[in-house]
Parts: sequence; C-alpha cells; structure tokens
Amino acid sequence: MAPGTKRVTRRLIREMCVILAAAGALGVAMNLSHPRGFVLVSRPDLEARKNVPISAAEAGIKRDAGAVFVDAREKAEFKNARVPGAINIPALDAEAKTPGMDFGFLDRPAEIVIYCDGPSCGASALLAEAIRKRGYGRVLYMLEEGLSGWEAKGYPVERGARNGK
Amino acid sequence: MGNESGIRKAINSTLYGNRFTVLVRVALGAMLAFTGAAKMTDPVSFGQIVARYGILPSELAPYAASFIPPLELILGLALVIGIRVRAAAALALLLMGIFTAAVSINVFRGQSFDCGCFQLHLLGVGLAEKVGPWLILRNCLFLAGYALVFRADRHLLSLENFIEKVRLNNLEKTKYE
Repeated sequence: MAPGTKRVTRRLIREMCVILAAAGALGVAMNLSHPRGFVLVSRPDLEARKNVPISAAEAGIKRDAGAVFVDAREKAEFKNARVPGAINIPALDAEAKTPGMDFGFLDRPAEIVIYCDGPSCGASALLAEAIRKRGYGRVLYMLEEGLSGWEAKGYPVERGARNGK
Repeated sequence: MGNESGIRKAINSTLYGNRFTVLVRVALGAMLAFTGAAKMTDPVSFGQIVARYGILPSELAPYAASFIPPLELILGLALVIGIRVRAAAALALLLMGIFTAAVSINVFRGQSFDCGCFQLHLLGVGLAEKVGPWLILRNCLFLAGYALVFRADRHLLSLENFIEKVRLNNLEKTKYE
C-alpha cells in the first residue's frame, strides 16, 4: 500500500471511529433522558422483578390452569388451613437449607404461586429468595393478599390433616 | 477521451461526483436521518423489532436499539450537510449491509414481519413494510447508492467542498502577499 493511501485509509478509519463514538454517547444520553428508554438494571434488581404480585382472582385463574401453590408458612399453620393441593415449604426452613425438603416442583412445567398469611407477611418473599438461590429463573407469582385474602374472596381452603397423613 | 461515448462520460462524471451524486447523497442522508430520529422516539419498540430478527442474543437487542438510531441520525446528517462524507458513507454501507444480511436470513427462514424500516406510522402513513425478497432488492439499491457516494471524489453542495474552496482561496491569496 502506498504511503498516501495508507494515510487516507487511516484517516477514514479514525473518522469512522469518531462517528461511532458520537453515536454511542448520543445513545447513552438518549436512554438516560427518554421516558421509553432502556436503563441498566443490576442482576439482583432484575431477579426481584421476576417476583410478580398477583391478586386472589388472578391466582384463582392460575390454579385452574394447573399452577403449583406453595405455602411458605410454618408446618402447623399449613396443617391448620391451606389452599387445596398446595405444597408446604416453610420459608425459614428453606432459608436455613433444612434437609428433607422436596423442591421437585421446581422442575414441573407449571407456574408457581407462593403465598403466606396476608399482605404484610414476609415469608413469601423469603421463600422466593431461597428458590432463586436454587437457580430458578422463571417468574414466581406471589399471592398478595395471602391465604386470608384468598379465603375472603370465597376461594376454597382445606382444613385439618390431609387424608392419609 | 475524445471518442468517449455520452453514457461513459455520464458514468465517469457520476463516479467523480456530479449533481446526480449530490441528489443520491442528500436523499439517502435525509432518509437515514429521518428513520434514525423516528426510531429514537421509541427505543423500546425498536428493541422489540431488533429482537424479532432473531440474529442477536436477546440480551444485546437493547444495546443495538440504543446504538443504531443515533448512528443513523448522525450518518444521515453528515451525508445531508456533506461533512465526513466518505466515513459516513462507509458506515452507512456497513449498516445497510448488516441489515440486508439480517433480512436475507429471515427470508431464508421463511419469516415475514414488519421490518421496522421507516417508522412511517409516525407520519400517519399506514404502510408497514414486511421482510421479504422485495426488501432485499430495495436494500441492494440503497447499498449501490451508498457505494456511489463512498466512491465519489467530489461532493458538490457539501460543507466539505465549501471548506476546501475557502482554504484554496486563502492559499491563493496568501501566495501573492
């Protein structure tokens, strides 16, 4: 390549890089100021957004569609009252990684709805975190009103020990 | 040179840079600037269109959607105004080449969806161009246009040309001082 051509090519590449850098800077500025722009979200924040709060009515629809209900409360509370067909994974036990808990439901091709007592109980969020730590990447639905809200809306609640248990 | 045909002369003049080259440069530049600005009004929708092509991993689609519209806008303005024309034409050629390849892959896959090319709905025009062989053909025409602008040695009605004229004038003046 002749020295003149080399110089022209180098200049062309330099100008192209300047344009690309300007486009990158404008893109970042656009996203920072645009109401419909993209924003950088940390991985934990993104994971937290995968925990979707739902109402009792939405949970009812999901139950009809075959969703797995997971009760995050203590064993005694679960024994007393629960959503029919629910699985009991006490949040504190899950967090402490108590042996003997069956997380096989995570592999089922079904949506998961977690619930605890009511809107203020933190067990659902705690269990969701423990499930995430097991590498579960799909959306987890959290019954916002808890079991009390579920029952108040007229959805079925099973009481007492289960048959054969 | 004397026995050159009229067509050959016209081709050479276009390749060197004449009014037709200016027309191509300004038309393609205005088109790029408009599409870039239109896409910048709704980055999320453009991100969805990028993802629909199924070429980039979905994690990269937002980055492409953030980068491509400002690039189109800058390239378009550079071509219309006529500054850094060769660099802008080279990048526009590259961008159009990648886009044409993405369209071709989807045509080969048998896909047909809104290409998201001009965002004409923003002007109230209900024309949605679909990914298909016609789009590849049209892109080839645009590629030829960018290649012509890149190849041209002279750009009439351009800021570059104006600056060069002023510089040469000044040189001419200072020569006799």
